Amino acid sequence: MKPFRLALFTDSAPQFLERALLSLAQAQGFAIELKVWGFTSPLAVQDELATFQPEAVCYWLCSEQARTHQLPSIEPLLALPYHWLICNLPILDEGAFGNYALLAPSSLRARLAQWNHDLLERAQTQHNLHLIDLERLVSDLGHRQCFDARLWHMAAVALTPTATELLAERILATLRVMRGEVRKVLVTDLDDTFWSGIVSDVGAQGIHPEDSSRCAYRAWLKTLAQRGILLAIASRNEIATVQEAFARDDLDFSLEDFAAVQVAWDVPKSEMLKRIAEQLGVHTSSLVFIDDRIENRNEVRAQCPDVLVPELPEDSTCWMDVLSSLTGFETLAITEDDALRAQSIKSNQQRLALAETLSQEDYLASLEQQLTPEPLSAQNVERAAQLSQRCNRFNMCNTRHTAEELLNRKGWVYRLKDRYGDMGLISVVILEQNEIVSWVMSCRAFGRGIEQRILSHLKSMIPELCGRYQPTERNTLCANLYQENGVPLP
Amino acid sequence: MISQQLALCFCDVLRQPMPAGFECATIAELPGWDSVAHLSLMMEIEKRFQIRFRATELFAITTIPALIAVIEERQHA
Repeated sequence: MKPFRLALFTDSAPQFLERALLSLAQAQGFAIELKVWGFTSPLAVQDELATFQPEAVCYWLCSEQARTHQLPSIEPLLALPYHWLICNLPILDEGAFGNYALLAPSSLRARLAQWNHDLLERAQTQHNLHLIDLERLVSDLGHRQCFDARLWHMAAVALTPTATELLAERILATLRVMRGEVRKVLVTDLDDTFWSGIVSDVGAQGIHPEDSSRCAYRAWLKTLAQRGILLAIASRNEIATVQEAFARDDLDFSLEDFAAVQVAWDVPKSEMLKRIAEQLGVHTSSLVFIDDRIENRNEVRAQCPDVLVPELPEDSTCWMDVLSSLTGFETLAITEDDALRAQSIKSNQQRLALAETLSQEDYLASLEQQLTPEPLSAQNVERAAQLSQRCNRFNMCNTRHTAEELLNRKGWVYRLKDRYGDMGLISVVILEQNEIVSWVMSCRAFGRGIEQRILSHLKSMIPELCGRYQPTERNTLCANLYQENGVPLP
Repeated sequence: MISQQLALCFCDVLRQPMPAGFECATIAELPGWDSVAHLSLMMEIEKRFQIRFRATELFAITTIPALIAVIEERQHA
């Protein structure tokens, strides 16, 4: 894969962050081409920046500069045709106003807070602006761990090496999402993870779902589920015992909350994860695995190295410290379709059950599918971009788009409903005259005749339709799609 | 003892094997050294020896013997 071209601008010494980014990217096997401008505004080197053609521009201002300088406005930057990763500013206080500082517009504290507020407001509506939450990092790590006045005054270094490494991690996590590396499924163990106790030893009534640290863990799972992450179970148990445990009134989950359930005695966890990935139609690199037992975590790491397996402390009360800092669930946007997507993947099991009992033709007819095309527009670019960032298997040219970029493209998006529910936006086609230059489709919709219907729709409007295909390791399933449907290559 | 611990710290931060004649070396001549690594080194030394350098010392200490002397002085302070 070609290196990610990142431009980095700072108003402090950039060398620590530059080094941290390069070394972390190398450790993660993520190729990056980095060009750095220290103490420079992007507005001052627009020609050089244009020559570099960055895929993203990271702009890191430091709070210390605000003591003596006015904070620059980001507005002129957003007019430039780049994807901006802009760090918010950790809040400092010069101590001149006491508790009144936030109310005094000229105080350092109020100015930094106002700048952050403006940035946040812009990020909510500006598609080419992505926030890097440095303020949260500082709040997690503690002010004294992040700042060292000696480094600032002697060398204009704005963050300690420790904090800089964590900032690099956050920036890289965002770059990876821009490249389509998205974690979609969280797989959890049950015993001593989801609840306290081993259900096969103590029985369904003997486990402790009310254990405070497990309650916090499950609340975290609920939040992930609400934002569209699928949940799955991988547990060494008997299904009847697990069902009995989930029937307890004081357990705030039911088995139906899980898109896939793997419960068995004699199957290694790695194998369970592979089965879950297959069942949900995702690659194992989309999975995050949580298990209290180190031998299970290590077995999964050895057998499925692309699964993200956070190292949990033995003491479960400290788990959320680790899990809340996980960068695996980074996203560029949250759309209404996220919840629909999760729901439709879950209902896929009902579809699969139906498919087993009917012929392919009868199955498709019985689904009562309604495919609705819509022109690509401001109303749907956010979800369209997200789909292009998430799709690897049905991505004809391995293209990733951002919402901002899609606003200037011509194309169609397709929504799908069937008797089991609304799947939301499932496909995006980008056209240049009569040529399909990019086509992504959710793997949930693949193999249901949808791709043929999309091509028919396009052919009905474009007489000499042709389509571009660029093979990758992941998109082999659509290698012959154009040929099989009478669409020539350009 | 300080010298050995210090050498280990340099090896870890600079990611280099221990050079011959470390005890009397000039810091800037050690393999893998540069100004960015220098600050990382000083921060790491503070952590491992539980001492704190003065701001001016961060760049003013240029040799290993001088560094060892400051560490000894701070530890006995």
